[in-house]
Amino acid sequence: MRPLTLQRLLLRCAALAAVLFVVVVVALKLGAVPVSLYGLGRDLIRVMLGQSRGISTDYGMIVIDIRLPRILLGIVVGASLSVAGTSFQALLRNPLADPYVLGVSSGAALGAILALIVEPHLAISPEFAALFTPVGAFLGATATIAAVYFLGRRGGQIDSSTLLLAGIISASFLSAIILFLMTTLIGRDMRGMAFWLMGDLSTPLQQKLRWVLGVGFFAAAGAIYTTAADLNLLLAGEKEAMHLGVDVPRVRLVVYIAASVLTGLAVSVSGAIGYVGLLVPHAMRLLFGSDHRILLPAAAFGGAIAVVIADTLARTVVAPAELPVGAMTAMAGAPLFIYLLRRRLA
Amino acid sequence: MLFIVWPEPLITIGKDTFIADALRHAGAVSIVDSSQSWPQMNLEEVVKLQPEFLVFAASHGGIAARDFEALSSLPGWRILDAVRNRKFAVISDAVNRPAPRIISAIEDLARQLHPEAFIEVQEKEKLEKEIPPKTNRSSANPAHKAMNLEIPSEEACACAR
Repeated sequence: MRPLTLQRLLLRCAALAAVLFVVVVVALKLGAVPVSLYGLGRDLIRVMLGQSRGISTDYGMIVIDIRLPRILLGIVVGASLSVAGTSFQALLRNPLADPYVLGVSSGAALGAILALIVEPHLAISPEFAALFTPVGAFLGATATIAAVYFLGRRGGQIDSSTLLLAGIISASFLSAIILFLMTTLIGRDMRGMAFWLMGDLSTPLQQKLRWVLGVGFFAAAGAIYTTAADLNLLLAGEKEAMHLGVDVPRVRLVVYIAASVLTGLAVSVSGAIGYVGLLVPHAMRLLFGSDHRILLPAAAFGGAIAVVIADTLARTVVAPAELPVGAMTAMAGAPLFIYLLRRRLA
Repeated sequence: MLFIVWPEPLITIGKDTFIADALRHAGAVSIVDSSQSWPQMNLEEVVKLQPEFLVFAASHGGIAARDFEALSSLPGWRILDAVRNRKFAVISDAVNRPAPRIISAIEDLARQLHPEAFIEVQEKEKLEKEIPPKTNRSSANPAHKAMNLEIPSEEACACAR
């Protein structure tokens, strides 16, 4: 294997960025209203220059105000899930690990559902009401992360296998609570729950949340990237990594918290979109090898590409209606996973 | 108009539901003509079709008004004319049940969407109070009277998209 140089890293990232760019342009073009490439470019430049008033037509507004934010949301959610999945697979040294394995998504779903239940009984301003469910989801995710962290310790440190078991059991316990709530609640809340359980990018995000999401993604993904070289050594085993000078407890803590935050952010704005965090890391590993210094950025691009494609299909296949994006990723994900698995065995 | 069953994700009604049928009696034409019963709508599509009214069904007005405010604070929804001009109608959630009270919900919606069609009725009622007609049976129930008198014309339907 050739050693990784900065040039090779940048070259691969540039290639993936180019693919992402093409996917985004196609996704911007497809949808309810027709838009020409020329008009698209002109409108985008106007927005970047801060002259959004120059866009006069309603169609331009649809693309800039609805389609573009949704695609950007898909990029951040996909990249978060995929980076979190890669990190958990390395941290737990388990190829089946995904962002949801430690119960973060169930915690977020439960938080969101509880928020949906209490919200009508509280006298809060409408502007805050729109923030209520994502905030509830994030609090649910954070509480789960903390609980699993304390359950997953052995001798004062995180222990990978204890953590995995604590996460799995927490997830199934939380799912049981969700099922209980679903059977006892009225119909109006059921729809909202289906949203959290399936994953959906159709709800536009408030301006403030966009900033939180963007900054949170770069901070958490950056923190994980600082441990990329250590994660490579961790693949050989925790003892081996320790002998090679890796501060294993610190790496575990940083990766665990950062990956959980990424998952929590993604789930709180989009629900649980399955398979992206499991499949994209494996696909990227087949393409680029398992050096985390390149695997992590590749996974970020790959996840973004996968979710944008899936969401574009979700909103165009049955137009004028749409499908939840989670249904698309699950339908495409499972067969693809089986294919990758069999190919590796052959 | 667009009947909002659930705002996040946006669920509306298809043409074969009894709610759609009830709304048609109120002179309301849904912008969605889906054969799916409870389609999840694409927001782009809604903006393209520009419904004149958003219609909410709620057990009391407060919930729907708050739903509307929450929607109007979201990017994307803000470019809907109905949101910009604050055109939304709230009716009783009796419209969600195929039971006798659905009639008053239909009338309520018709009043909100086509106030002009009811001016005539009010004047007639006023006249009737002043000069009581001899056969008084049909005016005993104003709801039925309004329903029978004012089946909105094609034009009125078109204006309430």
